Amino acid sequence: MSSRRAAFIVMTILLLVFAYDASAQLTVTLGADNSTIYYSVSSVTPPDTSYCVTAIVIDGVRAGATGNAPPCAMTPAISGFLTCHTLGPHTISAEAYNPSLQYFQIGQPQTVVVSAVPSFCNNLLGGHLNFDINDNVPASDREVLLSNTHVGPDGIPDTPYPHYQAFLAKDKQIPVDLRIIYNGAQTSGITVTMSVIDPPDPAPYVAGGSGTSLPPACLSLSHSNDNIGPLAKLTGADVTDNANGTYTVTSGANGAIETVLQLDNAAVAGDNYRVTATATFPDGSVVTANSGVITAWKRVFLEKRAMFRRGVTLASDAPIGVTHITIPNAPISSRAGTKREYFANGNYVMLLHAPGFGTTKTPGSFYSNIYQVAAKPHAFTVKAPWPTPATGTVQISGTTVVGTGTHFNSQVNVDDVIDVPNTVGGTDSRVVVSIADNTHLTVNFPFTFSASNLSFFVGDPKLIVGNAYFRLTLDRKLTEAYVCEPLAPDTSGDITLNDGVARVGSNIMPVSAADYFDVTDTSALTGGAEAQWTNPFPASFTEYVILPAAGLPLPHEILTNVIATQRFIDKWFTFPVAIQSGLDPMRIGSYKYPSPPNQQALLVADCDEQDVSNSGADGFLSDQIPSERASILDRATVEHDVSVSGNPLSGANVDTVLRRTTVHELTHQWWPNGMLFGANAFDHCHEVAYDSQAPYPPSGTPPPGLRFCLMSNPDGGPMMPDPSNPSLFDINMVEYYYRYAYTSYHAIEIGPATAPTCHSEYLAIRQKADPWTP
Amino acid sequence: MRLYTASMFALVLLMFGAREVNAAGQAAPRISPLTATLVVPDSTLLPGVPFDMWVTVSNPSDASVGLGLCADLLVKPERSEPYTVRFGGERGRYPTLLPERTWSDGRETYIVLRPHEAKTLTVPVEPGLEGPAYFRDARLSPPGKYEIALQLGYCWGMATPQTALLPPEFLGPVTTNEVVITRIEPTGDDAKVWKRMQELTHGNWVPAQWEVSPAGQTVANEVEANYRDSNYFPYVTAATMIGSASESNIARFLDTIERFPNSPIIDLVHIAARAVLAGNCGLKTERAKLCERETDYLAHSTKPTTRIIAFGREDLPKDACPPEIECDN
Repeated sequence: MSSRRAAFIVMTILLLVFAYDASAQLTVTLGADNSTIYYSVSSVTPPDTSYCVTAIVIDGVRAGATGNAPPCAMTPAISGFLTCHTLGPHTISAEAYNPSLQYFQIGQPQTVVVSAVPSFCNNLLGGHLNFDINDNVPASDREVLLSNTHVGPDGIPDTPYPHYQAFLAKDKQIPVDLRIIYNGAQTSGITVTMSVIDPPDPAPYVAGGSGTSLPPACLSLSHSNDNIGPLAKLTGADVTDNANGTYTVTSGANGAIETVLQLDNAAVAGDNYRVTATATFPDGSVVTANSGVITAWKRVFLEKRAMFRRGVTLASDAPIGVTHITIPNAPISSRAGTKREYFANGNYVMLLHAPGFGTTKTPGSFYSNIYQVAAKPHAFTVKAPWPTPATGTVQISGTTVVGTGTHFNSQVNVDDVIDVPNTVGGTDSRVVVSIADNTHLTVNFPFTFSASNLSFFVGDPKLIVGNAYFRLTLDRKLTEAYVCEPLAPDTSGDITLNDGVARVGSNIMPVSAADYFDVTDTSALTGGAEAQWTNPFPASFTEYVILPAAGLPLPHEILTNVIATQRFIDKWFTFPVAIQSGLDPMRIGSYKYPSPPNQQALLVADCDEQDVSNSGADGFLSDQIPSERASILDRATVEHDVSVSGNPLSGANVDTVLRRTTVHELTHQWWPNGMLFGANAFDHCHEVAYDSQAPYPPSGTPPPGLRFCLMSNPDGGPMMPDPSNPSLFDINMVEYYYRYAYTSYHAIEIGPATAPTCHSEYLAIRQKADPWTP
Repeated sequence: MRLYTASMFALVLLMFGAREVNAAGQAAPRISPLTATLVVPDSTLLPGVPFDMWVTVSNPSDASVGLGLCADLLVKPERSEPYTVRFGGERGRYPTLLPERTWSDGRETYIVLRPHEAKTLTVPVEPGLEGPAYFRDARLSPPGKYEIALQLGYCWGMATPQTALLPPEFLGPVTTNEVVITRIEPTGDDAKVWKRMQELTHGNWVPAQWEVSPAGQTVANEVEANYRDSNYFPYVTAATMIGSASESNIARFLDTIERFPNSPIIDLVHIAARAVLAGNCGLKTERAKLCERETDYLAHSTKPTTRIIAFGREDLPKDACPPEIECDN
């Protein structure tokens, strides 16, 4: 074991070991042959019933295990022997672990010294070069990330690097260590010549394989030396670069050789490497060994957010202490047809606040609370003059208002807004919190100046003459303030940026899943590179890390305007950092929220129309503001479509459709097809997937095995008979196939027939720069 | 993203029509009796700016007739081939011709005109110059003459276009008259600004999205700094109108109104001015007078494109008050 690995394991043990039951028994003995190590581990009582596997560990590496499915009242006992280990001391320990890979140590580690090599141990006799990373190591441990962009303030990555890369915890670097064994002994002083080679790309969309139907231009991409980036280099304190593609290094104490495989800055995901080592041993034998294949990967972080199913944004500020809120007279949900939903007496409502556009966000700057509507909603239309002049004059000081000739009891109500002219030609508005009599009232917040003999007005200046509103009376006073977005007056059309009011089923937290739109099946985003057909990003050597839930669902909005949609996301998602790019900080367009490197946003929303039957999409890409991107899923649209007879999605499973749509819309963020299929295709294609034997365009009844590329656009797609009424030839075939959630991309030939090249979304994604920003 | 185009619909309709002919022998395709008149109030314009449009649709017949509100913009440029603009960008959404109630509300996509009824549909330049979607097309920018018309078709949304789904009173798409608009060759500061607009976009200036594109923001900053007398200045003010009721914004809007009272875009600046002055109306202050002046300006506007943004749907009858709501009056 290399020193850095040993140190890492010690650290890991210090951090992770669940100190427990030191009295439990681990028995270790050395056999009469001075080679075989016998062990016996007794059952112990675990801290909980999830610890059902017992493992024996030699020199920090698990060498055997036995176990059962949880629950377990006792850990299983295990006994056996270990053989063919190198000469010298070995540390044996035992541990029990659970499905979350939490573990605790059983008994005390023990050391034995092996002093003989049995004749049957071919792995020890003669010369051997043993790489830590070999092809038996899980492929996921052999990944090397090009970047790992989420790092905490302490410099530690929020998500660990893959197993071996974690020893160094650096981008584009992975330790490649080997041990020199000669006749059972870890042997120093052996000179080894090493080099890095580039094995063929194994991805099925270039290497082919069972069930695939690849054009020659794609098949020709897989061969030795097919990496896009240059070969990686070997570095290390004892490594000599011979400047001819080879490196020389001599084994040190315990036969250890430590090197680092350093990927080039131009490396791309999917580039792969193998390290070879050759040495001449004292008996004259020349031995060559290879490391396992090491593959470069991208890591992308995804902030996924849900949206409340019902609600609106505030029409005016709702300061602390008031018992009402004002909202637009508008439906609180999308609908099919004419049925409109509104808030009603008795509803529970959650008020949601996000920090103002352009300000720095912290977790504490988002807050929310649940109230109950305590009366029938009051509908009103603002009539001119507004605000309305009131009788008399007032003297103001702090929160006190003293009137002369006023009729507070008849002209003013608690929660009304009163307005007085301020000293700079504008208006100060305050909310009335109590009325003592016709000449005395108090307001919610002190005036910024004191004056007397002021005319005053009653009415909320945030409300627009001619517009219709609801006033909702709540069951108690607000204990926190909810506000309109300061940079977006109502008439701008950006009311979407105001704080939100959502209808929820109860006042119990957490909110019920029935209260919001979400997708819970994100399985297509993750998985190993081998997971073809269903997991397109891992197949593109791109790992998606779905960030922990960042907060409550977003307020309900019908996202009809693309730019307003992006600003809504900018305001409510946690990741954006505002950059002021415009001159005036008082203008909303002065701020940009560039997408962070290797991070994407996904919002599961309602619909892009108030009436879902008018919806134009089940998802879309928000990309109208340069350098900002987000993917939006219209779950209400899909829920509607699956319920309509004659719709291509009729009867389909909503989550299945959305699983596919999730990948489709996130793929758009990579823009893998660009303008290949024309400017009006907007990154869509019109191909069948590469594993399909079907010709394009298909016709008539769908041919067997048809798999449309995930990025196919149904617009103008081939038509097929309606399964519910075969006499009608009116179902869009591409859209119909959305129901099956196939998520494979195409691989096609493009370019002139004399020199065709291969194009695939898989290739396009993995070859994007890393870190990637739009 | 799924979209169904009017051309696709036309194809389906054609196929359906052909089948009808084959089956019935003499049946003719249905033709809508509706008439539609397109109005462009300012038909002489700077290059690279959006403009207001509205359409008056009339039903001269004695039967109710349906009208789809997904409108393609048909363009015949003076110097190049005709083309159709449906939308700009992957989002692919038709402009709102008729909001449900207020401008920021949902939209109507299908209406039925009673016998001899007329209705006005609007395609206003949107606050912040962020739409309508037709102006996300760079081909509409350069100097020259353009004949334009709108073709109002059925909105299929996500439904597969099929004749069986059409409402019985829908009798086909309706196309407006053609209107000639002239993009002038700018001179003086206007020419300098137009040159920068082209330089920064490699000749592909898009009339919408000034403030959200780097090129647009650069041009806006340069106009504010160096070309304050340019006729592009009120467009920059309108493009950057979404902001707080700050002193800087109030002064900017009022200055633009004073210096460019006849700009085609000035009504949006009036709308912005009213928004930031709204809290002052009714008070006995100078600001109050300005607020009331702006309110009065909008109240007396006769442009449907201005009124629809400022006041929403003024043609709707007042809803009956449902029992679960408490209504004023």
